[in-house]
Amino acid sequence: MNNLKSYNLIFFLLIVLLIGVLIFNLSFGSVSIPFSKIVAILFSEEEVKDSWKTIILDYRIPKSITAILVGSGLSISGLLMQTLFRNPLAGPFVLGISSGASLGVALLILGTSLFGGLGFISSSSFGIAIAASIGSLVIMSTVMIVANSVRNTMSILIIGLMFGSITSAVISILAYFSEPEQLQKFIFWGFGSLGNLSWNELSIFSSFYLLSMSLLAFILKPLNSLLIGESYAMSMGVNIRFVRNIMLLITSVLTGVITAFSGPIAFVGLAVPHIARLIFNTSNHTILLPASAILGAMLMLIADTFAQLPTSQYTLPINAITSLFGAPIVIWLLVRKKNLYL
Amino acid sequence: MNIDNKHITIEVQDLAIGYTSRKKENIIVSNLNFKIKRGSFVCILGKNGIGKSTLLKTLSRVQNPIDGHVKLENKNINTYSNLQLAKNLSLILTEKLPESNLTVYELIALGRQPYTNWIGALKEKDIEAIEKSIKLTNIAHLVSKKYFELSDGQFQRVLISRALAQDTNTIILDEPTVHLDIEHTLETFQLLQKLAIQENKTIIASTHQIQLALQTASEIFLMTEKEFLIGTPKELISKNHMDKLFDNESIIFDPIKEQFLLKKTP
Repeated sequence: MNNLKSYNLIFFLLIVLLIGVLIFNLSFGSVSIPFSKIVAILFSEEEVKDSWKTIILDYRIPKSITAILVGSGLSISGLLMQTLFRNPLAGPFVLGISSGASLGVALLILGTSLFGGLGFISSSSFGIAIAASIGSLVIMSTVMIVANSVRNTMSILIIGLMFGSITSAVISILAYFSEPEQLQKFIFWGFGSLGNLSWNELSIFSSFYLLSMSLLAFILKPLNSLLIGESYAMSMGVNIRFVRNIMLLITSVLTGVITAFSGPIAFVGLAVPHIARLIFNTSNHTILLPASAILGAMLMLIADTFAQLPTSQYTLPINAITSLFGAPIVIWLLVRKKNLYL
Repeated sequence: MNIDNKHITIEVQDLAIGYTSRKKENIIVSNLNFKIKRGSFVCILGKNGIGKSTLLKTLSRVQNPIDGHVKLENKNINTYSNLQLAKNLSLILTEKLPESNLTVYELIALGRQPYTNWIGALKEKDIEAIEKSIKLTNIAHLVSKKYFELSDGQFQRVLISRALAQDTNTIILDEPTVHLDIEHTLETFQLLQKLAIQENKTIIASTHQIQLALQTASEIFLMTEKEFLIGTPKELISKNHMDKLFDNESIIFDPIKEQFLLKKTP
């Protein structure tokens, strides 16, 4: 198989590119720090300004790691959803799963003023992660149950959109009745941000991330047989219910945790798997999963670099950047290929 | 008669098939008893809605029988694990495949899944099985194409090839020639007959191609509203059973020409 060689070459190039983008991402920010000093902070004992050290170690590196986790996690989530729903336009945002996570967070941040007594949880990032995961799990399972009775791919998307609307409506109602400070907190969360994560929060984030990623091992092979439909997969010995539940768990936890820590981020999950398919020209999940993860991480790092508006002190909402990037990519893919494949 | 049992692939005892909806049982056919020998090519004939698909689904455990049981290789089919079943029985369905970038080779290789490790890596033995099934179905020139580039006829061969790669004694096909033109329909029946005879596969297919079924099948299941008839094509024709397929009296079976004719209206 000479295919294998060219795949390896592309993977090698992508990883080199990812490292390049990562270095680029680390080098830019509101305070300009010379590249040689960044290297010094990371790899040598050389004396560097303390403020620079803090910026790199406690701000930029956690932010870059967050970007990598968010980008790869959302992309893998999107890829799994597209396979699960046999729908090339599925993704965490389109199907309302991100909105479900938002609802979970809204109930926690805004709902405390209504129900009271939960204030101590809402301040902990662990609580937000759990709430968001539960929110996305609830919406994801509901969409899946409804999707089972309608086979039409278009209907599934519209159902996802409707669930998105329902959750936004509930969030609006919650917002209407909540205190101004809590509302402000929620709105800022909703802009999305990759920064502001302490090492402590990051460790919670990454353990959720690694946990759900490790579950991928169970479904790597069945994913490919799902490409030709559930009936065929079943006839090849796949336990569909088990695989479906695992996929449900992975996508909900990934989307939930990512949304909890960095806000609802649109289009990455939908667009990146298609970019991966375009580059590798395959549907094989053993290729597409790592490819989507690398490309997603890269895209998030680039988006974040743009969001920093290098050398300025402003940071744009990351959600706005990914939408500005992602939406045109999806439109371009649809126009160019006429038809998106799984 | 014990020796004979070794060559029986599928045995059905007191089987009742149908479906349950809202706790109500709808029995389509009951009291079915038959044995299918290894290497047979069985065609199931009958009108639309008569229960051909339900029978195939029950034989392949997609659906549970209402009563009685199905034995596969002398073992109740319900005692098989998913994986064991996948190594003994493969399916070819009428449903459309979701559009994807899979190549023909990858699609056929999926048939090896019951045998491969957790990541689905193909070993030498798997590749041998894939190559053999490609050869049997004569599609070597198609392997590097994407499957959505194929014509319906080519695609059907690919699906049969995938089932062969799964290396099962039994292959069940639901209306394999439904989208095909005459040439590809003929070729498909020829191929199925060849696989039964040469490769000793047990092949069970539902079809509306009565004439081709009579020419190629080793056994015919004739499903009508009143009866479930089993026999070789010759037996069914000589006993004038073929006429029972349609209740329309203006359609008659000509036993000499071995085909259905429309009675001329006076």
